[in-house]
Amino acid sequence: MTSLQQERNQLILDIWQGKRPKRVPMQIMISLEYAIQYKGYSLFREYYSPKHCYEAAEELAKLVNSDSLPTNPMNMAAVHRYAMNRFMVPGKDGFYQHPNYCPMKFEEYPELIKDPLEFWARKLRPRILGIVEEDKQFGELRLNAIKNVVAAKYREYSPAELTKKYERIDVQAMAMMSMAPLDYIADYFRNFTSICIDIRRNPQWVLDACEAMLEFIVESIKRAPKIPGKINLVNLPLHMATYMKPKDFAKFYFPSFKKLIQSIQDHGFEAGFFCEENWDPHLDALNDLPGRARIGFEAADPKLVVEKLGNRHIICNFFNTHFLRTATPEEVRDEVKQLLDIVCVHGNFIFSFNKPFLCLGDARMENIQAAVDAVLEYGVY
Amino acid sequence: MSERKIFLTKEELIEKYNLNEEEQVYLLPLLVEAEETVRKQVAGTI
Repeated sequence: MTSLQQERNQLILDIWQGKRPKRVPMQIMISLEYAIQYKGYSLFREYYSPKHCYEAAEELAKLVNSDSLPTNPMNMAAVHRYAMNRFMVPGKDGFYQHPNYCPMKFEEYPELIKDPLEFWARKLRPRILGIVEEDKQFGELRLNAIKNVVAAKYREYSPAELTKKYERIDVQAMAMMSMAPLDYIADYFRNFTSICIDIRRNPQWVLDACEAMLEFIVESIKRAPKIPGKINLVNLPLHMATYMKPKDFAKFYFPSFKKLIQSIQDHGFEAGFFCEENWDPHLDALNDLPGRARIGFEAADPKLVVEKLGNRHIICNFFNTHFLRTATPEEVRDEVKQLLDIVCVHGNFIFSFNKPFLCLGDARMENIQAAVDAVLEYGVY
Repeated sequence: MSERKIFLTKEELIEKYNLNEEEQVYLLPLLVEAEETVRKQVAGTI
């Protein structure tokens, strides 16, 4: 390990241990789709080539001096396509989207509550994955085949290679992606619109389903592999909370979410979650969570977050990606400085943008670089 | 949805997945390899 990589790792280790790091760490996330377009490649063509994806991610690693690797070269687009995944559908521009598809019927809640694994594997997977639906005998075999084909192609083009080559943080590992129980139901069983109606139609079913899903998720966490010596993170993007009334949030969302965070920590993992949209009405609840978590904020008021959470958790994101589209580099620097003045009070802030860039038009490269340089300059404690 | 054939040829994959010319460059070979893997598995005796 190089000294630069050690230095970067130390920033993250310090922050997890509740110490003020030497400077604000940066975890800039730039989507592979952005990188592909930046390199002049096509989302229809090179996006499916691990070699070209690696080249595009490498280009971004050269250009963006973030502490973490900015772009992961891996993508599963070929798997989604072969599987005919109704949750990952390519648009006319080649970009894959998660449509508001609802594979579960309202009257099937009792089946979900009784045994989520059986219900998910036997009923929902065939409705979500076209290949399993049309080939009941060999569909799962086909799915496994394409996953192995893609994984084998990425063996020599892994993010670990780039992380090592460009001396980025490697002390953190993503053990698994997960979801709050209510989000899981909203994302994969029902959908955003249906779950809001379900809460009114049969609140007890939704509550029971959240508890059943909690057990289902915890069973997966128990089986997630840990990398010794690393901070093993379970990442959760939080979706539904800001679409709910505070009373509903307290009743339907938070209790099973809190138990999940406790379980993540009990099993030796760290929790990292991203509060989508504006969480200002729910900030007090975050102080009621066990342990220390890494919490990202998309649109919460940074002053209010610092005031309410203090040094209780690690905080990150905030910086509005939209600003990078039209501002000048000088304006970006000023904006970064202003944000750091607000959020660096307790030494528990990781700089990152509030959304990853998806399309080339989302951010100008000179603005991304200006933000990174500003953190390196003004983020020293 | 009608039952899928055990093995789809390159031409059948292009038609089934509605692959445009660009997608036929890198995506198609991955799909062909998956079909070959399945064929090898199910044509064997164990």
